[in-house]
Amino acid sequence: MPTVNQVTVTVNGVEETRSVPTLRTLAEFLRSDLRLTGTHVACSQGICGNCTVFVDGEAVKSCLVLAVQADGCCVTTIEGLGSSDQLTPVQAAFIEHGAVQCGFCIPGMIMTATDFLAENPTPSEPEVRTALANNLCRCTGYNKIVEAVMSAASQDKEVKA
Amino acid sequence: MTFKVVGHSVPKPDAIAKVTGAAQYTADLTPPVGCLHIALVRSPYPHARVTSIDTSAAERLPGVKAMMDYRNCPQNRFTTADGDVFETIPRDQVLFDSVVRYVGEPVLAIAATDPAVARAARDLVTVEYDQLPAVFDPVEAMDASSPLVLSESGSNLIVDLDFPEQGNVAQALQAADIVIEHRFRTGRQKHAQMETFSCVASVDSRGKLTVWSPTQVPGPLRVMIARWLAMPAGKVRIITPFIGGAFGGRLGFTGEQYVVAMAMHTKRPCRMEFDRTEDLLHMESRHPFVMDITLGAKKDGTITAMRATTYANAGPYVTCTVPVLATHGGCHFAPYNIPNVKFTGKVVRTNAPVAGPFRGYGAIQGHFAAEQMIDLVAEACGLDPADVRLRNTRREGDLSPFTLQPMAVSFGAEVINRGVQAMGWRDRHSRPKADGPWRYGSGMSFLVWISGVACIAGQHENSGAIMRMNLDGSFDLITGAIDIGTGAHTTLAQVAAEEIGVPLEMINVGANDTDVVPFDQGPRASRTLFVAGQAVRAAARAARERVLQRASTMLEAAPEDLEIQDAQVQVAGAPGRSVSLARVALTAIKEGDELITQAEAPQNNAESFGAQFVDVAVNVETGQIRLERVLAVHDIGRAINPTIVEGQIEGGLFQGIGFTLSEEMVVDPQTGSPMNLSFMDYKILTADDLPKFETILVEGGDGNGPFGAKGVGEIGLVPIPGAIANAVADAIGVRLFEAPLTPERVLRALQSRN
Repeated sequence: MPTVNQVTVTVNGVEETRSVPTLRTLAEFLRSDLRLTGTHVACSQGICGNCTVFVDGEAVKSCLVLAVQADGCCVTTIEGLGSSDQLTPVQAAFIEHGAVQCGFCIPGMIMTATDFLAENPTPSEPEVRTALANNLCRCTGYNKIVEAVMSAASQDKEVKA
Repeated sequence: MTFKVVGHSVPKPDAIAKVTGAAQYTADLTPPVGCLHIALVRSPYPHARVTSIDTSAAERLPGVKAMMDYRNCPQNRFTTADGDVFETIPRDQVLFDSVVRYVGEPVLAIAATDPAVARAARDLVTVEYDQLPAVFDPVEAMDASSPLVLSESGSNLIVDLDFPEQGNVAQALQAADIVIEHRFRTGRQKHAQMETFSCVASVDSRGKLTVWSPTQVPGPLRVMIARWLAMPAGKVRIITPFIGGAFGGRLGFTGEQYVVAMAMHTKRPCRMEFDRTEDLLHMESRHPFVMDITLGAKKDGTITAMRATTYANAGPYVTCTVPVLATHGGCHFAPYNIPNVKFTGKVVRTNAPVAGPFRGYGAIQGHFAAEQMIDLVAEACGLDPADVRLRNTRREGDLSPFTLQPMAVSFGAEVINRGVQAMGWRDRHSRPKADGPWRYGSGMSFLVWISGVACIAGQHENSGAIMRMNLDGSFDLITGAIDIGTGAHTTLAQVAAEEIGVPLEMINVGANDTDVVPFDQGPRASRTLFVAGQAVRAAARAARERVLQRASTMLEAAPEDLEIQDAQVQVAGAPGRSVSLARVALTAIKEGDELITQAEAPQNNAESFGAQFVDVAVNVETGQIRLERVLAVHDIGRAINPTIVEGQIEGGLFQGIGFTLSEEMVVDPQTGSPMNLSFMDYKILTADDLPKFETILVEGGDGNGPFGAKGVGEIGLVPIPGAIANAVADAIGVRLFEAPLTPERVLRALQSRN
């Protein structure tokens, strides 16, 4: 019988308390326990970045974080970033620039881009490419994703993590 | 001509759900109550007889509910390829067999109440095997001394694709000034779509089976399941949620067969989800090819003869290898007028992993080789590679290589010339050749492509479209066409909106549900917009005519005097005399007419020319290849949505670059084991590895597609390997004949030169 632990995590501003096995990842916890399926699992090895979320303001790969490690933390997922009524500048830029094809990598890509722009509001294109180097996309070839991030950066709006 | 909706880069309506995380993919769906989870036990050996299976320890695990292996599985044969539907492909597979023929072949399925229990149970099953001799290379497998992969067959050569000879190749080669001959090899590429396999199957209280799957082919899949399990078609329903990429990897049975079999066996809903390791293991690969090519040419660069033999490594089951090899043969040197041609393709069974359909479908392998051969002719003649292509390209009046009809127009020369200019191609050798360990070079390649397969070697296309008017004046577009991320649903809606004369928001594209939508062959062969778009346009035109006819009675004006604008039908020049579309629909329905129209796609095709140019830097100490500049020039007829068209070309470039530089599933030559089942060492390129791609879209031609549009799904992908290989040869003075051009292979080639 696997050990079960009680964890309390504030996710997108809402405090959630659940019992989880020790080895459940934060990604699995978000997806199965909280039914927040916007965070996607594509490799389970921390390589593709599709599972990127914020834990206490830091962009992390949630497939490499255990749910128990997030006990007492504040987590932001793609669902907590913006909504269809109020898209963030990064989300809007992705749509406008055709950066979204199948969409599977997009939540993680947007989380990484949002975090990056909060620290680097006026990046060069090579800097954007380096920042996105740990987010794999199979559809776009990255051209329009990079364009979207550059465009969101050039807008005079504060991008919040 | 200006259009209101077509030709505009409208944002995709489904993008909002994707950027907010609301879009649901198959693994995001809440499993049905009572759902069981499936795990597969797989063979560690490439060829073996199963001598015993002991499930006793696994059965004792709480939560394990059922098992299935060769002793109790459905015995009906199938092929995983959806050519199964049209009976064009031999059914050489069974769900579980007592003989395994490749490493990773599923041997047994377990159903348990929890995925972790299913995985734990998998480790407790003991299968004993008697190993049999195995063969992995297709050329070797053709030798009479090699072990037989299928004991009941007499040979590992499944099919000898002998294309009829054109002209007289032997004579032409004898008379040629230059004869060049080489062997090329290409590697095992994986689709590596971001969404791993997942599937849910559930039988309801009336015996109807519903399958949720990220399939590209719900219509064909429904037919395949019904036939395989001897169920009436009406008892099978496929629902496709959002799809996280497919690229040809989801064209048939990709794992659904296990979930469906277990759902029927346990009489409970079943679900299976692969992690990345299992997905890389299970999904069928691109066919590795060995290609022998001989070209004959005159001193002035005119190519007079081509002889080619290609060996396709099918793995143990034939799947779609014959059509892949036939496509490859038909596309081999296709852009060029060569009067003497002979192609032979060998479809070979081996114990290497199973190969299947993949964007580019045999032609990308061929172009890696063919475009290098063209450059070799240029070298031998002392001519510019662009000029050799211009000399030999098919022009207006020449026969289409695909339909064999004369082409009314050819953009072959134009795409080359536009690219030559934009790239500064004629000045490329005035740039520095070296800087420290870096060597610089430029290369190009050339392509002519298809839009679907109609009118090619007796093949046909299918797509049905239904337009249904709603009482608010909007229209439902009910199409079997699937959007795997390409934006097809957006562009098809644009076609409908333009044809009827309404804003895009007034076209609703609904769910992919085989209970509702007509049959469609799914995204492949760059067909969706071209084929489905013609059906959509015809159904939309018919809907418009019905609306105008109804409105003409209401407005007491001739239909030809009416226009549709801003959701109103109005008399031209008399804006006061108008009626809303909603009112037209309401009036119609009160007279028993719901305003539904239907159309099927016609059988036609279109040629699309492309030229691609690359500047590379090669590091002679590390073997690293860096792409400095990538330019793709493509004749696309009309860009219904230019951003979406660019996105398809850019995405194709990216996968083609991966095929050329870094992506290879390495199979151990002794054990037949795939070695790199992880993104750690199956290298997909990142944003940091790539330059910004440049594309030039050339419009024109008034072709068959909707508003003249041609297919674009594969055009970015197919030519880039040849362009890169040519650029590398230009940079380092030695040519690589095997893809991918890994640093190891580059260094070995440099050593061989020195």
